[in-house]
Amino acid sequence: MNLVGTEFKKIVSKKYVWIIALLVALAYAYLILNFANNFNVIYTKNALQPVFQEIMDAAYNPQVQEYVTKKGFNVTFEEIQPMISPKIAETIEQYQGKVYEGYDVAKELKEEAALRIESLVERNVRISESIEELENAPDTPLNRYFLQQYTHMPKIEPNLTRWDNWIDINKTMLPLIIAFVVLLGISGVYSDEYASKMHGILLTTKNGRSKLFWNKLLASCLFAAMTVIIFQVFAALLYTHVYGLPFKNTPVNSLTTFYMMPNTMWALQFYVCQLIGSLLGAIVLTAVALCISSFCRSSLVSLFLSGVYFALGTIWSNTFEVGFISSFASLPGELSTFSLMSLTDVLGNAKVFIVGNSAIPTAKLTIVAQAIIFIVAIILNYFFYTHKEMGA
Amino acid sequence: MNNKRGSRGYLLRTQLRALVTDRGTLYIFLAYIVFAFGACFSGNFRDTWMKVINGDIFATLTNLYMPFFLMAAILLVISPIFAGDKKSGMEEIGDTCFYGKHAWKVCKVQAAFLYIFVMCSAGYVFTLFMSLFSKTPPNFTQRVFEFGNSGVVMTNAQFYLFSFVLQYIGLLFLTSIVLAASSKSDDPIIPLAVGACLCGFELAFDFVVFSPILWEFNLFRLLKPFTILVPTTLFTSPLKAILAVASTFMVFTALLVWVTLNGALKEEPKPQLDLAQH
Repeated sequence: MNLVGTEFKKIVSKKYVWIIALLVALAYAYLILNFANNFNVIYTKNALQPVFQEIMDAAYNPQVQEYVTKKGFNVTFEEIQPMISPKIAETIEQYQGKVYEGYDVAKELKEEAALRIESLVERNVRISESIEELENAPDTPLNRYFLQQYTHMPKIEPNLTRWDNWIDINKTMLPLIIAFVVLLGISGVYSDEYASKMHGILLTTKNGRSKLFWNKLLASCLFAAMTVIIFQVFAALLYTHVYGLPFKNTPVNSLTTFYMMPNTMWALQFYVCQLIGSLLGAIVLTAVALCISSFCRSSLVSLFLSGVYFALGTIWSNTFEVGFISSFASLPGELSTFSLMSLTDVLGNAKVFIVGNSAIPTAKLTIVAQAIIFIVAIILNYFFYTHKEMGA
Repeated sequence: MNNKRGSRGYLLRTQLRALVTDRGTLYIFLAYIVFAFGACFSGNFRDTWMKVINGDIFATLTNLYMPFFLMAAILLVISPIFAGDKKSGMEEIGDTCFYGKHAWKVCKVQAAFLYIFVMCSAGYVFTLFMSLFSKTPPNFTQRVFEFGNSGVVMTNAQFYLFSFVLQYIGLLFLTSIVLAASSKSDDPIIPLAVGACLCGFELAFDFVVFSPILWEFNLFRLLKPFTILVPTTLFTSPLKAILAVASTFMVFTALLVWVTLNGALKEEPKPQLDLAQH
């Protein structure tokens, strides 16, 4: 077995990592499965999915648009029923007389259908108004950015696809769980070597510590990648069980989470970005944790400090998550490893940072900052681990 | 020869001193002081980072933020108390002691509980001093949460004392979990991970009500004592909630302490009484 394999085996052979990972996974599953019996999960969106196109047509019907706008975006199903496809009412009629957890299913579905239509009309009206305002507004980088984004947005669709839930997977909890398991596995990579005095013995070997360094790094990154894949697959399976797979792709700006955000992406594209971000973030976290481990004599302190590094980014990011403009105060959170693993805030909200006469997407800054952190962590790690190396 | 050095009291004091003077304690306490200083003397800091309860900075700091620093101290400082000894091969020393491993283990548990008391008290005292010098000092005689529909009537001073007691019970529970995990493992990472897992999921159950039982009997109901004063569907009277939640956690704490100490009894060699007479 080569050195990478040996190092990887050393990490994965820690039984406690898997026991705690299993406990965490079970607790996570319990939390997600708790939503399975909610009325909203069982009926609201599922029942209306067969009439998705009809609801969309209704929202883009000029007669409906005029009526909904005139009523201040607050209409009942009965009011708009004569103007929309009868298929919607027929679909809802199937649930007539059905009661679930005290809810009259047909009544709730009528309210939901009306809400989806009025919400879609409202979004389109608001965006048209914004475009009009922006065209007459002063030429600032922010106005230019908004105009560019709003005019290039895909056609907004009714929010019935379940992408809201799927994008929520990586919002906060899963990045925290992945980070916890990764840190648990690799925080002792160097510290344990110091504790067992192995680092001194390594100096007497032919290749010293330098060769081992790259193998340890690679093995740790492999472990991080494996953890990300396991938990992302596990979360996807849980969400498939609870919410079902999204039946079609939809523009991100159709989702309630990103109401009026200048995002031109599609949900599937965004979810794939989140998966890649999760993987890259875990690898950056690995580099930082290894760097901390290389100067800590105790794996406990190494785990604690790495945890503090990740937790600070999480707290900072969640404190300033509202809005679509980054500021100097919010940047530390937005450039954090947590932010890269989640991407919900910086990429989902399409945040920008204004520098001079240009608006730079914050997501790009996050990637650059994390790449710098990764390189600096590796250099420092190499320095801390091999600085007592003796020349040949 | 100084015989006092072999006494249980000496063992306890030594262990407590080791915990209090640990670098982890110092750094975490320093971090809390910096945070509390910002909260008391910078309006900008308060607006950005904090949610002030009822305009009372002292209650906010002690009820919402200090518990997290104390939890960090427990996880970092108490985790290696048994597991660290095992990892470094020092646990056998207990067998060579006059009172045996059991007394040695009891002293460690007592020291850990005293350590939490010292840390919690120090946190309260420092926060009180800082808030007294801030622009909004606490008013001890004013009735607490006048706007709320709480059935418990008490002054701010009584509420601070009440918070201290409930938080201490909550922290004792967390400490006993960490101690039990530490006594059963040979790597300090394990108790830290177990404690962190527990805190993380208790926090999740506190934020979102997945199950009313898990929300009512939550560690954070004790660590954030102002939340227990509000009547809920399960406990219409806050007094019932306080009694039920606090006594449940105390029972669990006692059980965990028994688990921690029981491990030592099994490992301990048979006592040789005649050795003491020599």
